[in-house]
Amino acid sequence: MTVLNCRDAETAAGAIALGEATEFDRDAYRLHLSRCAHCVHTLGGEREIERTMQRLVDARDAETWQPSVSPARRRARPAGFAWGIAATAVVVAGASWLAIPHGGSSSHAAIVASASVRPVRTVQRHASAVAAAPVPRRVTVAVAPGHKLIVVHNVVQLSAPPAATRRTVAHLAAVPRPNPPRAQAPTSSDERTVADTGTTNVPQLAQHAESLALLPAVVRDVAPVGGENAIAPHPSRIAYYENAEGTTAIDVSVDERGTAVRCTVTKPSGYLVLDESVCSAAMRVRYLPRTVNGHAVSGLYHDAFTFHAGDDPQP
Amino acid sequence: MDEAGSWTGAGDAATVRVEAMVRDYQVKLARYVRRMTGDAEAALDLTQDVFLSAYRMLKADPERELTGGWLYRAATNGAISFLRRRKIVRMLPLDREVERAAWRIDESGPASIDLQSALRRLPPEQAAAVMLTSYAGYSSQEAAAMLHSTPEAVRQRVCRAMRVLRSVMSENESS
Repeated sequence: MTVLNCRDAETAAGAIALGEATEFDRDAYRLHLSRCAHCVHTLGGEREIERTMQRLVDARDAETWQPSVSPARRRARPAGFAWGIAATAVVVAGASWLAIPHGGSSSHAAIVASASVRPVRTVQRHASAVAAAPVPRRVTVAVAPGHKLIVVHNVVQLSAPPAATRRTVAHLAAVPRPNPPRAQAPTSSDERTVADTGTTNVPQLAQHAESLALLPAVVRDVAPVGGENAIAPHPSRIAYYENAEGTTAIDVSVDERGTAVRCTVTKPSGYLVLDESVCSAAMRVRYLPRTVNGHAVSGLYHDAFTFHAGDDPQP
Repeated sequence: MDEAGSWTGAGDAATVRVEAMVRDYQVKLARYVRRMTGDAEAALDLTQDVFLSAYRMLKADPERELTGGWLYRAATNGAISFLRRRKIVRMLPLDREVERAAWRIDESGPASIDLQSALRRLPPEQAAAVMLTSYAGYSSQEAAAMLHSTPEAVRQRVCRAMRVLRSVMSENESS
């Protein structure tokens, strides 16, 4: 009888799944499983493979969709398609508009003069500034002399925790705590952000300390790998010229593997470029997943960023 | 074929053959593409594109042999291109809950949800292998010809896809 290695066993399992395996193949597969615990776990026995295949066949047989394909069928587009096209058109038009040499209309000339910037050079400066220094908690991005965009990173709790979490906390709150942590006073920018969003600000240090004191090894919330500064939004240049300001609050859904699977803007800033830059940055980051009793589960990460145009009061 | 909405406008040989193909394959093909892409509207668009390609091909060469396998191959290529394009254009994944709310009754059964969840997690080539064989009913040799691969590679992809489907099933059963 042929002795299969693990790779051949995969092929044999596939043949069994497709009903193409001979008795000889099945015998060889059984023999391999009797010697390889790893394949027993990953590939499963013949009955298990066939049961899984049956699930797929059940899904196919349950379908009742009767689509009709005709040339006159109106082609559908994703819900965000029109907005995507519009946003792209605005960005492209804005970029090409700014790239036109001076001498156009008076309003155009005034805007370019106020920016007082040569596009290519400023892009390089912007890129080098970002690469040179790590992103601090309070960031000023200077795209051109006299044009700065200040990004204030706030941790904002947008809603009450889920019911299951609340129950856990209430249960554990009965455990006496030796040194309850003190909450850190919010900064003025935090307060303004909270006022803008109409939400409750939870200073991160206090939140972190409290979670450590209350929930020593029970619940760990989602956190970006590399700390909160790992999320570094870099808005498009058009945001600088538009003096875009506002607060973008987001919810990032993180799966049990720590991958961001969805970013929802819970409080838009009013500028698409700012919101998109925050979501793009949040989706690029890896996260430590939420854990409950040591088991990773999916969770939500709340965050908010406030963008100010103008000079940085605390450089 | 006239653009006003009928496959039977001109009445030439190409139109007649495409009409027969549409009659025989439109439901199977659209369901297959919908499973591959997870998007019914995109599935209808892509299926329509497949039949239009077939029509243009037959118009240019009326003697050409076009089988169901050719249609599935074109649909698979279209679906894979769509998935890659969507990955580039859309950085934010679809809202699963909203999608589920929009599903029809035949899509909301546990087997259907398990299958769709597994297909989401699979690379397009593995999804195509398992869908062409287990769902569309082609053998591993036929699927290999469609995917420009070997039967062994198709069986391996099917096996790996089965592993994902099994893990999804066990997750859903435990939850």
